[in-house]
Amino acid sequence: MSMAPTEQSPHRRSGPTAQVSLVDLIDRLLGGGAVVAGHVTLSIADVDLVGVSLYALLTSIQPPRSFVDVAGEPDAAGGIE
Amino acid sequence: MAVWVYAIGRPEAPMPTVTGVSGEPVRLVHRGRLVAAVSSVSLEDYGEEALRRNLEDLQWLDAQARSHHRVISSLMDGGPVLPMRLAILYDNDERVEEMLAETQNEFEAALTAVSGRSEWGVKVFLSDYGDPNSDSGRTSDPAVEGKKAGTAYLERKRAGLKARDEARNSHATTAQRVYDLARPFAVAGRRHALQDAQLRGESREMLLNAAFLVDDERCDEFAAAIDELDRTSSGIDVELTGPWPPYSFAFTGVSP
Repeated sequence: MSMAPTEQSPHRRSGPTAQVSLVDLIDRLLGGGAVVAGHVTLSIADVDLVGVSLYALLTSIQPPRSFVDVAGEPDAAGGIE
Repeated sequence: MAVWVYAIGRPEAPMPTVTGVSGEPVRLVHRGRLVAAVSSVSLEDYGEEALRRNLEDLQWLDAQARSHHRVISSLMDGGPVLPMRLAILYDNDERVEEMLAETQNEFEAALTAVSGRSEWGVKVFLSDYGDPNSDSGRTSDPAVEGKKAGTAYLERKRAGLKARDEARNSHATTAQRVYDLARPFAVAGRRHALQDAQLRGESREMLLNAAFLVDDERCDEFAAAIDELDRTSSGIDVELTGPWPPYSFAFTGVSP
């Protein structure tokens, strides 16, 4: 098993962020994170990323098969594959 | 100026000592039992047009993502934290306070759900042994020598497509097996889209890109289970990253 260099122990926080892979961050920062209604001036959702050259790489922005599978939510659990 | 929001937490959260995305200090905006970690940014660099332009720049995105992550990570020792998605901007602190007030119930529930838990990433790759079947059908076979070249070509092509379909099904099964074995150790699981090899900068084929929300008391057990899976599964590498702030489990039910 290999972990990112700064994440060798489960007891450690992610540590110096320079070692975290950008692609892992992008999954989480664009595919996850809280999004709320109201008072927002601008959010990443407002930016038309279709014309952005990175769009093809940043497939996690709109993950077509991503879902959250939380205990006690049978319909979510049934969404696997 | 605008206000970039990093995360929502409790008032006990330590005042961040790190700087924000544009080098400005991070501060806490209080409202009731919630705080938002924010910093000021200029619309010159973070307005809609500028953001669109800057997002073309992978280095710029990299720097913002790391700053955002660094601020959130620094808050995590002070209790549960709900990370915000990258690049969510408000006009000023008052707008942030109003947002906290209006979304208080959702934030309270979400903070409770991630309290004492961390996100762990589990990725599965095909081991980089090369493809043992890649030469099949290419070498001269006496049985097909007598056939017309076109027929032999089509047969090889069909066999190749069939092998590819079988490999795909087998990969999907493998990914599902790892997910199902890891899932019981977690309170929630999520499958992210598979990562682009070019952005990842390596050639191994990715089969699974999952995130799990795990009780902190069970993280050793979880890590041991993933390690065991990696050691006992031939032909695949199972990799663990974390602990992460609960990015994949912050609520996204309300769209802006």
